[in-house]
Amino acid sequence: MKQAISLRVNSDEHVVSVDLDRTLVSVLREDLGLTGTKVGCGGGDCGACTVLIDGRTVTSCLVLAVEAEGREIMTVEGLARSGTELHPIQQAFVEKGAIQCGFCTPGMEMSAYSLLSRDRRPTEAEIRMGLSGNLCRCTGYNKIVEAVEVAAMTRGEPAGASASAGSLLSGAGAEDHEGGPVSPLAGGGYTAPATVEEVCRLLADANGNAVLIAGGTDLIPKLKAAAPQARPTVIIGLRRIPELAELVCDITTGLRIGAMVRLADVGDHPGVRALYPAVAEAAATIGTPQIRNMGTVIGNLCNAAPSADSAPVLLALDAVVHVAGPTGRRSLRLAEFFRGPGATSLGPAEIVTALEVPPPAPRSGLSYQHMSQRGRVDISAVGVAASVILADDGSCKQVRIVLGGVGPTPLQVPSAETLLEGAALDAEVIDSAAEVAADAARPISDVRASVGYRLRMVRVLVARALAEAMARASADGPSCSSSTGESICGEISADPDSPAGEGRQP
Amino acid sequence: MTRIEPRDVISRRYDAGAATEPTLIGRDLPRVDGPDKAAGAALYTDDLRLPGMLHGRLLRSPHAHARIVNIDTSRAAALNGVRCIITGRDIPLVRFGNWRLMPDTQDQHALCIDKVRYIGDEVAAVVAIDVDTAEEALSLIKVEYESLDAVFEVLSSLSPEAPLLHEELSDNVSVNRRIEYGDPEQGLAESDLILDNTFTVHAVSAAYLEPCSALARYEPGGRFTVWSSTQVPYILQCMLAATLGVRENDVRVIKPAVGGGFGGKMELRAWEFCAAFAARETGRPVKFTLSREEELAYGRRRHPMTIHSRVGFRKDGTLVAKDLEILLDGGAYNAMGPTATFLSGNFGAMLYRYPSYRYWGRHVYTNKPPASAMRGFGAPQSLFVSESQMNMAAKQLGIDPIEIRIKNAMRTGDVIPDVATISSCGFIESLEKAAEISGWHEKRRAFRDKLAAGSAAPTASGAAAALAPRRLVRGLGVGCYSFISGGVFNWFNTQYPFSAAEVRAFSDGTVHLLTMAADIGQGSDSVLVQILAEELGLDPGDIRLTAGDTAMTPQADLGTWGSRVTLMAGNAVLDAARKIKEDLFGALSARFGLNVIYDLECRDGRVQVKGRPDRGLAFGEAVAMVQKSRRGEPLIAHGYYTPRGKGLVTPAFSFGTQVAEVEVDLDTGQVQVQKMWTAHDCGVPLNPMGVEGQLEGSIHMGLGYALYEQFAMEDGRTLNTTFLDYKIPTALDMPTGESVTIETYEPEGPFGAKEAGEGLVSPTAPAIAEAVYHATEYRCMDLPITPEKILAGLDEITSHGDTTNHPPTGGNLT
Ligand SMILES: Cc1cc2nc3c(=O)[nH]c(=O)nc-3n(C[C@H](O)[C@H](O)[C@H](O)COP(=O)(O)OP(=O)(O)OC[C@H]3O[C@@H](n4cnc5c(N)ncnc54)[C@H](O)[C@@H]3O)c2cc1C
Ligand code: FES
Ligand code: FES
Repeated sequence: MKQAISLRVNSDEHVVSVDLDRTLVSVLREDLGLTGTKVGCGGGDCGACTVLIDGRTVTSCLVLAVEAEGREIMTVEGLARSGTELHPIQQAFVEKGAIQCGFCTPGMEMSAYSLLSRDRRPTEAEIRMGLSGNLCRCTGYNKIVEAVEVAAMTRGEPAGASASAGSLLSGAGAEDHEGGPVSPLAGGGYTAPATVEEVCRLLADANGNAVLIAGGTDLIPKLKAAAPQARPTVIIGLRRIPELAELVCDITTGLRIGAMVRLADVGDHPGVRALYPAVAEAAATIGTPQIRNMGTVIGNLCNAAPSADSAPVLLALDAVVHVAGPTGRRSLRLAEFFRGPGATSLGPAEIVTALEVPPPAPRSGLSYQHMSQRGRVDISAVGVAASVILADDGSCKQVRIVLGGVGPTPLQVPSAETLLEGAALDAEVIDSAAEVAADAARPISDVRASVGYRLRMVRVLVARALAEAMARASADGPSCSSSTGESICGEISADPDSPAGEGRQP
Repeated sequence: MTRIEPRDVISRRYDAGAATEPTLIGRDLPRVDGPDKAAGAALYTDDLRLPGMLHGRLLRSPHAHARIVNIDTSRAAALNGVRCIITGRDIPLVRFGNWRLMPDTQDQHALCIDKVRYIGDEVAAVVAIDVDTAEEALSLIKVEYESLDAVFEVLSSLSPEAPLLHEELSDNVSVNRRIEYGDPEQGLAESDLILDNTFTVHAVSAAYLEPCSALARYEPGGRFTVWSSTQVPYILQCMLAATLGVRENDVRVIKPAVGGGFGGKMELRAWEFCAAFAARETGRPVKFTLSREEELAYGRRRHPMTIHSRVGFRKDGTLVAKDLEILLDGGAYNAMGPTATFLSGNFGAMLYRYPSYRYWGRHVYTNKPPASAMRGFGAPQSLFVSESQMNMAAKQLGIDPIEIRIKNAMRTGDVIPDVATISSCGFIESLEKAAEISGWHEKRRAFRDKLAAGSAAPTASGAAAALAPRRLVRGLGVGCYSFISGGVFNWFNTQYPFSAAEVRAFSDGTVHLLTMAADIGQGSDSVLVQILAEELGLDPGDIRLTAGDTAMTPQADLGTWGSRVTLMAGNAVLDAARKIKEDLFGALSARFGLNVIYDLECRDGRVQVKGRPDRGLAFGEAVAMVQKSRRGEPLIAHGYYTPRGKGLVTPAFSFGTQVAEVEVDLDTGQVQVQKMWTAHDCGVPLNPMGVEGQLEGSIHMGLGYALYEQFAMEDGRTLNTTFLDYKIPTALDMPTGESVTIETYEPEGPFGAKEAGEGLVSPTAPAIAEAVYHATEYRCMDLPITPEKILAGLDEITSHGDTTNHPPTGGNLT
């Protein structure tokens, strides 16, 4: 079942007819002949297919072509102004020896471009972080990092801006030029309704043949792995619903994260970083820059992987999930949301609209600690969140310990919590709580880690998380008067398709 | 990067008095293909599309070992859009393998005939109008298998009861290789210290970023054109011709841009054959492109090995003897395993002067994806053991690891019987320099003192650290390498020179270089252009290049492997360039009536009397004169190189030393490599930036090999088949580094150059392993070094003390 869509790529408008499950990269390469964008893995892991959508890097192998309609797409072919002149980033790559086989190069350049558009003078560490979603097997990265440094210096202007008329993050292309298909098609297809109610109605009508797509980073790999016959016939995009794009962080009302708020929005948000640093840290550890630009916090929860990195902190904060369904709206505690690996308590036609976290209590602290083999850019084998509220005497008034990756769902550990509540937190108490927590964990062995290692890491990470949460709680309580100024408590309510980036910077 | 002169600088080709100093050699020239790649315009195989092109997919075995009873393709064939189905019944019964010199080793058919031997073995191919249709058709093919006992470990595969993978053999050993000189038994008997250890090293993926792809076209006249992501266009041409049953020149192989190979793209593979075969069957172009899952689950790997090494020392650290026994886990087919079996033994004898040496290598079949060539080709495995044992011996004899190496190091002029003559060697200088730049002696002492003082104490500060102290320790370790500059042993049994070049000079001042050398990312195109431009006194921009097209570029070249291109193809280019120069000099002499004793030169785009630009011609004018004097015949020269009188291994060896500093978290077992220092001898670095790029890429791969990369296997099935679970290092994982090149002059190499970049993948793992030992006293003898192993090792030490380096398990001091 093909759908005609119009794609805006490097400022050119193309009309193509695509199957529901076609990815953007295959349309770019096969239908539009833009073969500069490469496929190294097809699973979001290598970054060779990196392109910009509305100014942000995404891995185009995890983007459905139908979802890219109406958005501004930029590929490596859009970097240079002409055939005779390279873009300063490309020039720097050539001159600094940042290219060997060249297969990673287009994706690297797009990541570099995006980085330099946001930050004129990134530090080396920021460059490495910015490129951490792009694998290179040839160069060892150092020359690429140097090239980006050189490009940043070129002509004293942000190298990223020259070809884009500086409009990257100002929301150009953020709003759709056209409405696109909004009503369900008889034989199935993609649709992006404008209201939550419409979504619920479509879900109910589809009788289990429809799936929701937020960032698609969990969904697309699953679709690809499924046999063609087993793939859903209707895909419902959430990207055009304004209410879902809301990210509010306020010291009096707390944190509200809408269903389309991306991991990067949360990880980079000055307010979240000030008030709920561990929430920002957890979001910022997930995947790669590209994955964080695409994936949502709520998608991470709805996917219900036992290892989901955003779950433990949000559980430790007693987050509330807002749900909409055919019969109306309801709310439940996040603790009641997870049912097992990949299973939640959502009804068949229900969606999560937002989640809410209460305002931070005085003298409270939160920490997220995680561990995986590579150490960075890796699925966590174990993740531990701890939140601590201190009493006036410095003893522990309330504590939450949540373990990720060591059971069918994220586990709260009441036995360890009771041990701590009322006690003065010293190294000894913390150690015994860590011991108790490890007893409660029920890990399995898999390619990521063995049972024994996971149990051992629970002990280490619980201790580290408690220590950090405790340290944060005893430091001055969170406030809005930090150096980031009042804007940290601001609110974003941009167009749902927009990168929400413009709202982020103070 | 800084460069230093070695103590024993070998005489330069350019004597000091001569006016012609090289102008391009040693300069950081940007790559010739850089702009095209930077713009995203370079075409890789999967970027190519031809009118009417069909798409192919492979059907792979779900069994590790089974007999094929029947294949029913009828339902698949009936599917709309399917154009061709190929099974083992349809293809010529031709066995192939790169070891043509030893036909016994050729153990593969393009598709399985009667048996499958690993999960992923290629059983059939479907070609259809699009990939989805081809995939649907695969699911409709019914293969009836009769499952057979399978064997997954080398030791069980050696047992007499083990199932035979290849029934024409009497056991599962496909290659036996022995080297022996001196009297190792007597040497060991006379040793003061004998280390007797068994190490295991694991399989890793080349993980080139471009998955394999092949596109084939057939002309009704009987000619095939195949574009493929290969590193051996000529070998592929020969193998395709053999399996298709046509003559070699009926197949034209073109190598487009290739996204890395590292040894993984140097054989004929099923999809290349199937694309060509189906193109003939259907009359339409056919393309196959692999997925990353296929690459990781079924692709070629570096050989896992079980290595038993006994090495004897005198009390003062002098080496006396080495007895090395290696079992190579070859997987289901030989692939490039025979070469790895040979080279592992050769590398075992390298670096140090072993007065007596014995090697016995056996290549053993198991029901796993075949292992094959991968960067280092036996060296990373063999040298992990040599280097670990040097470190262990140093510890037990109370000698500094660098000192014990210097004491035993090879030097220029050394001869290893059967293996090599060392014509240039900056090894000792590299050891000294690496120690100097890393602050070796001070740091070794400082880290050790800290450990002894039990101060693996809180290193972080602040309230959190007080409540859950981090126990971080640091260590410093060293590893060394030596590597070949191309192989001498003619296993492919080529009838042509090892490398060839054709140079065409034009009267507009440009020159066209044609070569079969295959640039797969390492930069050989750029180096060859640089060599030619240097020799002809031209600008690299004056050179046009055609490479890796078997219909255009001269027979032959064995391709890119074993770090052979710079030396071998470079010499062929030089040979051709010198012939061109002779003609140009002749024309110049005639034009100016020059005395025959004059020295002439090509320089700055001119052909002239040395140092007398006024008595000369522009390059293009000189070419025109030659052509005129020949009444229009074009000025073309051919150059060749075949190593002779260089032993059976290689014409030249590189050497180097690497030092790693690590930090280990004693609670989590995680290792953070803080910094790497490298001092290496690659002869004259023709393009230092290119050499540095190779070095940094090697560190990346060595780091992955040491710490992160491994396959999780269960009954022959690979469980981690994505880059999410097969972890190559990211930009965040790379340590900072410092390097120096030790400049020697390799007389056999073009402008003094030899291998750079492949050998460097070897020292990283032993250096890191030693650094971890230095930090924790845990010695890893089974790569990779994972956090789990470190914690288990530390537990062991806590309960039993450090066992690896003391008698009786580790060694015996007699
Ligand atoms: C390379 C890579 C690395 C990754 N690394 C990590 C990591 O380190 N840590 C980690 O935790 N995860 C990781 N992930 C997983 C993934 O990126 C996250 O889970 C992400 O947050 C999912 O969000 P999404 O918006 O992309 O979800 P989608 O894929 O759009 O949706 C996920 C599932 O939730 C459903 N869903 C989405 N929104 C709603 C809603 N509002 N209501 C009801 N159902 C909904 C969808 O139907 C789908 O079933 C990684 C993924 C990739 C590809
Ligand atoms: S192709 Fe690897 S991330 Fe898309
Ligand atoms: S240059 Fe080859 S993968 Fe980066």
